[in-house]
Amino acid sequence: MLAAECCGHYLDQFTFAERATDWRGNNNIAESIFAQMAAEPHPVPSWIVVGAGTGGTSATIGRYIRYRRLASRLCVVDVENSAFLLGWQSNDDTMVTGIGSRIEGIGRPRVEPSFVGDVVDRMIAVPDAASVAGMRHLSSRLNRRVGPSTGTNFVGALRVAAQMRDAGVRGSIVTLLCDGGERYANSYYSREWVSAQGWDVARHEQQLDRVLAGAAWSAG
Amino acid sequence: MSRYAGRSRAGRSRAGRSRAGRSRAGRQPIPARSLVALGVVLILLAIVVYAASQFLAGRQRHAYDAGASPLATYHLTAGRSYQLSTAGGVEELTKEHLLSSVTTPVCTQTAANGLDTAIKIDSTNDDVRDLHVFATFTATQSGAFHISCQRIADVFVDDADNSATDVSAALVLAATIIGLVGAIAALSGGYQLSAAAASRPKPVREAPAEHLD
Repeated sequence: MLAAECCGHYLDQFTFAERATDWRGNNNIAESIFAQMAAEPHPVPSWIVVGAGTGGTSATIGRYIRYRRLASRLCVVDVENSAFLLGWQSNDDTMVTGIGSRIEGIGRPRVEPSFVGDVVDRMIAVPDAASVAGMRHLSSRLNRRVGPSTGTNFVGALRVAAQMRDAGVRGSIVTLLCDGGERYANSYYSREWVSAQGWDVARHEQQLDRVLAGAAWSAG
Repeated sequence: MSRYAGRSRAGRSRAGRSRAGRSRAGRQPIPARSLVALGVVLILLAIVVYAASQFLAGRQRHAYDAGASPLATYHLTAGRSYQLSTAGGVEELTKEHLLSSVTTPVCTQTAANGLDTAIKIDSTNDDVRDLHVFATFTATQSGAFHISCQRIADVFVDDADNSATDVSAALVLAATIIGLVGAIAALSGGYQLSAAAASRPKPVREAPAEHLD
C-alpha cells in the first residue's frame, strides 16, 4: 500500500522466500549443513534449531530433510509477539498478533507465506529476555559478538540438548549463528537499553549457567 | 494482550467459498462424489459407444467406410436427386484425371433386365469431402439399378432409397455427447471435492509447542 501511495516499489522478500533456492539441493543452506556435518561424530543431527523470519530457512531445511529421508528433526524457535508458533500450534496460518517482534531478524506479526508448518517437528517459544541472555552467553564463549536471534537459537538448542541429556540420548544439534553483534552495541549490548525494555536477563543467564553445568532445565 | 496471544484474521480464508450445497428451494444438489462417479461412468460408456461405432463402421457399406464395397443395386425414385461417391472422392478422381473442369465421369445405371441407361450428371461441384461425393444426378426412372462409372472401380449411391442409415456416425455423435457430459460431471464433482477439502479445518498438531518461562 505504501509503495503504491508513494509510486514506489515493494521489494517482497517474504512471499517466495521458501522457493528462492531449490530446496532439493543446489548448495542451499540445508545441503550445506549436512555437508559440513559429514566429518562429525554424529553427521546426521538429531535436531536442527532455527528461528523464523521469512520462514524460508526453516522451509528449506524441513523440506530437504524429508526429501533426503534423513532422521533429523526440525525445531523452530519463536519469540514474543510472533505469530509463527501460534499459527503452527493451531494449524492456522491466518493467525496474526498485530505486534512486531523485538528480536531483530526473527518473529513476525503474521504467519508469513513462506513458513511451511508441515515440515516443522517442534516449536519452542523463547522469551525475549532469554534470547538476550543466550546472546550474551554465546558471545562470551565465542569471544565474538552475536546477534539476539542467535541467542534465541542457542536457547532453543540448549533446551533440546538438555532434554536429550535427560533422556540419555547422544547426538548432535545444529543451529545457526544468524548475524554478528557489532551493530547492536547501542541496543541489545547496552544494559540501559535492555533494562528499558523491562527484560529480566539475569534470571535467564543463571538458568543457562545451571543447565550448562549439568542441572536439569527448570521453569522460572 | 498476552505476549503469546494472537487471533485469526477475520473473514479471510484461503479456501474460498465452496460451491457445494448451493441449491434452489426443494432440490438437493448431487453430492460431489456421486458427480465424479457419474462422470467416470459416462466417460467409460462413451468409450464403449465409440468402440461400437468403429466396429460397425467396418461393416457398413458407404463410400467413406474403409474397405466397404457398394450394394449390388440401388433403389432410385424418378425425379429425385442422388449423390454418386467413391473412396477418395473428388481428390482421388482428379488425381486419376477422371474428373476436372472439362472431364466428367461416364456413368451408367443397369436395370434388372440388363438395360443400360446413361446417367446424366447434374453437378460435380458438390465436393463434400467427408462423404467422398463426386457428382449428383437426377434419377429418370424408378427401380433397382446397378450403378457403374467408366474406370471407377466402386461407385456408391449412399443416399439411395435402400441405403442403410449411418449408424456408426450416429454412435460417434452419441459418444461425443456422452463423453462431454461425463467430463463435465467429473470435473464439477472433482472441483467440489477439492474446494471442500480446502475449506475443511485442519487438525490441531499433535506435538504441542513449548513455552520457556
